[in-house]
Amino acid sequence: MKREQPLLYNGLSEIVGKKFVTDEKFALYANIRDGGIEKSRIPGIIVRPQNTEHVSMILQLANRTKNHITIRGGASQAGGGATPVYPDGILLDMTDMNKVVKIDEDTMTATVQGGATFGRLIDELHKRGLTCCLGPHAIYTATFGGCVASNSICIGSGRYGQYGEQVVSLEVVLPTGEIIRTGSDATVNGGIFFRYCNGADLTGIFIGSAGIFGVITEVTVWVEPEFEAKDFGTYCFSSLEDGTKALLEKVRIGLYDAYQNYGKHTMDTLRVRGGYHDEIPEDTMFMNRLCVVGDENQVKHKMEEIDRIVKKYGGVTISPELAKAPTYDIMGDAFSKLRAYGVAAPIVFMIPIYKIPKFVRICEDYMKANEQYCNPVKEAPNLRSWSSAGILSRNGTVNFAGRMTISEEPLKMFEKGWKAWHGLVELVCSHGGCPYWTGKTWTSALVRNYRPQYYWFLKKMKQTLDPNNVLNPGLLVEDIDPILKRD
Amino acid sequence: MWRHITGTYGICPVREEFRHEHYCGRGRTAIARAIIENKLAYDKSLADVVYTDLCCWSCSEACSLLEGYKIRVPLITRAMREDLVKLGIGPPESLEKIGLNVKKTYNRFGWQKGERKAWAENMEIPNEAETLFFVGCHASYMYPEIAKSTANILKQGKIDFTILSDERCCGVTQIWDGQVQIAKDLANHNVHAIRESGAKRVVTACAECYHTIKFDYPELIEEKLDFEVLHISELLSDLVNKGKIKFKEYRKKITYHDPCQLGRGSNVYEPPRNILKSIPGIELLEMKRHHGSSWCCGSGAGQVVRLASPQLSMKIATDRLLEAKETKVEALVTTCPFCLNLFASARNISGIDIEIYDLTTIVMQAIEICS
Repeated sequence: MKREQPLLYNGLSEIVGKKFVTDEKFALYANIRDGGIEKSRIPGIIVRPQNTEHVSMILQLANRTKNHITIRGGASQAGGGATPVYPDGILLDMTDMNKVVKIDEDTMTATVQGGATFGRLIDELHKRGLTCCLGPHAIYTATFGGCVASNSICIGSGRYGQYGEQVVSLEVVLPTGEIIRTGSDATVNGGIFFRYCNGADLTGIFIGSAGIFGVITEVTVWVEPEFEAKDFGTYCFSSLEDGTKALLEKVRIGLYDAYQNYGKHTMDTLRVRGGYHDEIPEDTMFMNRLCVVGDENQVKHKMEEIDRIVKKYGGVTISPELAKAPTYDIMGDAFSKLRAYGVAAPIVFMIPIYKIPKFVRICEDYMKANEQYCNPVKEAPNLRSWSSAGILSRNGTVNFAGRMTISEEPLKMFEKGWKAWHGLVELVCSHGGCPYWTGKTWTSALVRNYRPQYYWFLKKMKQTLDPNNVLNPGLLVEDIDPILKRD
Repeated sequence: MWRHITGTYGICPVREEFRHEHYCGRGRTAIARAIIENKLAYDKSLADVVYTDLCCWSCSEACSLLEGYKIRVPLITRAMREDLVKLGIGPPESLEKIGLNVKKTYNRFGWQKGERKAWAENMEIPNEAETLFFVGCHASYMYPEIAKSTANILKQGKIDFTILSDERCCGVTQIWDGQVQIAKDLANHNVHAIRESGAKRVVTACAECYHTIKFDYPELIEEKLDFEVLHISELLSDLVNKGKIKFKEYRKKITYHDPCQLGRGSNVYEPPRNILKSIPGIELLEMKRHHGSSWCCGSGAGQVVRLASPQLSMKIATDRLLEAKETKVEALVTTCPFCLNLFASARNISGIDIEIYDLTTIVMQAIEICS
């Protein structure tokens, strides 16, 4: 086989072994997508490091040869974070670094390699009666490194916040190949037991960084004893305002998880495509599915309080079964069926809870003005495929998610729909929504909306840590020239 | 929901083994798209990858994205294999040989046509009945005890049945390896023969024959079937529920392995379990991965992977047997001769201490014979 980049292939093979390097064309094409819809450039070569030292040597090689690197874990995020922005670079597939390194019940921490999936750790912890508290919705494929780099919102975020808040310490390989450890392990004799010590919280700069500051090779997280009890509830409200106020009060009690669906259009779509004809009352504008955890008395008390709040705001209680699975199992399944009508183009932003009604209306008005780009739902032609939902995070915040299902054919229609999607993103940003996803699809929106001083600071950090712009170029920061040179 | 609990155990057995993205459903779909968009061409290296797909439906079962876009990865693989055969790049030699066997002798082993019904000697099976037992190649030639057990079960349940005088291989391997014309010819023959027999109902003890006749034949012959197709477990479960089959005590700790083409492929999970649970003395324990999250035996649909990549197949089968051993059972029961055959080989090579049975044979050991 004629190699496109023989020197690079040989260099990588010397580091990891030929078995873990491929530049077969079909292998490259297999890696051009993540959970989203945006096509990426084709990588030039794929390498699967087996340990942290491999990662360090690969980054050093990339800096010498001036090849850029895209980091790929489970690639379950829908923002374009795990796919190359520029062609012909190195794709660093982290999924072989998937071990559970240590579970320490003295410090109540668990350490895993960056490519480990949640299921692997959950299973080990479950044997000991422990839980890692949070788990991403893409639980089969999402990796710890990716979750940290995305600062994912998870099952359990209502209680624990986003994934970054569970992190105790990281092992990171910097873009130039140095290996650092953060938190209490930053000192020679410290060891891993705590995050906020030894000076500046540099763990934080890697969280949500989309991999532009380093490759996360190990993650240490807090663990807790498994919850004694949990209970679920599903509640419907006939006004966005009532539902929002009720949610704000419920949050003060302490929820583990909460998922919301908003707006008449969303409810109609759930009934028609999700099959929930009888469950969701006709006048529902806000549906809240939640979970509470604790000991038996705590759970009982919380559910009683929630019932009181729901009644206060005129809500009705419907089947808790709808709340018993994370969004992806039931509601995600209902929304995934919208994909039958076109390409699903999601938006996800963080907003304070009290702004839910405002954002729902802004988006629905925009969608109505642009509905010609979305296919109708076959079973109900008056419905265009748009839906909005949210997942609770901590401190009165939710992620606000919407999904347009853009017509795929003809191509001109798709392009106009995609443009309309970008318009929606700008609109939400202009009203104060803060993008949650950090991949390629979102970079230009972020860059346009950053404060100038913040963007200057971000660029400065990137240029300092990654002078050759080798690692994940084109994410979070624009207008730094990417390395495109090849051997 | 169990997938959230067992998420540690992965979705794709081949990806778990080889680790590269192009071995899993997502990667295979991306490759297929690149081919359709004329960005990628078929070649021998790609063909080798295409023939490692187990077509076990695990990715389609697990992923709501695939469900939403109505992407059935096994069917994409099938289409790619058909392309490879048309281009002369596939199938691998081992599968070509099976195709030749089937064309010449109407069975996958290349054995004597006339020996297909040898198991039925002295069984006094009538020439006509409303129920037709489609025996399949494995039960006819390699596991006559399955054929005899199934026949005896039908007799015990007072079901009048017949068999085809000129049954041919169902063609499952050729459907899945891309040699679709051979499969079409077999389908046309078998359907014609079934219609000529006058049977209203076809029952089989092979999960692959079952899936093939029920779901693939209508597409192959481009007609709806005018007879019902049942797996023996469905029929037997019904007989047990109605009290027409009774069991004596039979003590054994067992686990049940869901064959992919019966479980995920046809949504038949409970009938085999109902039968086993009805046998007094049987303790049925589930493996970690069961029902929709069951792990493929490694044979692959139509036994394609076993023939194209025997080492891969054996590794997956051995892992599954180890999983069965973790449940501390004495025996593993399944209802697919491809699974049975591979598990038996894997057990013999690995030395894992576990008994392996087909559902029909264990039922016959437990059945209370009524004259």
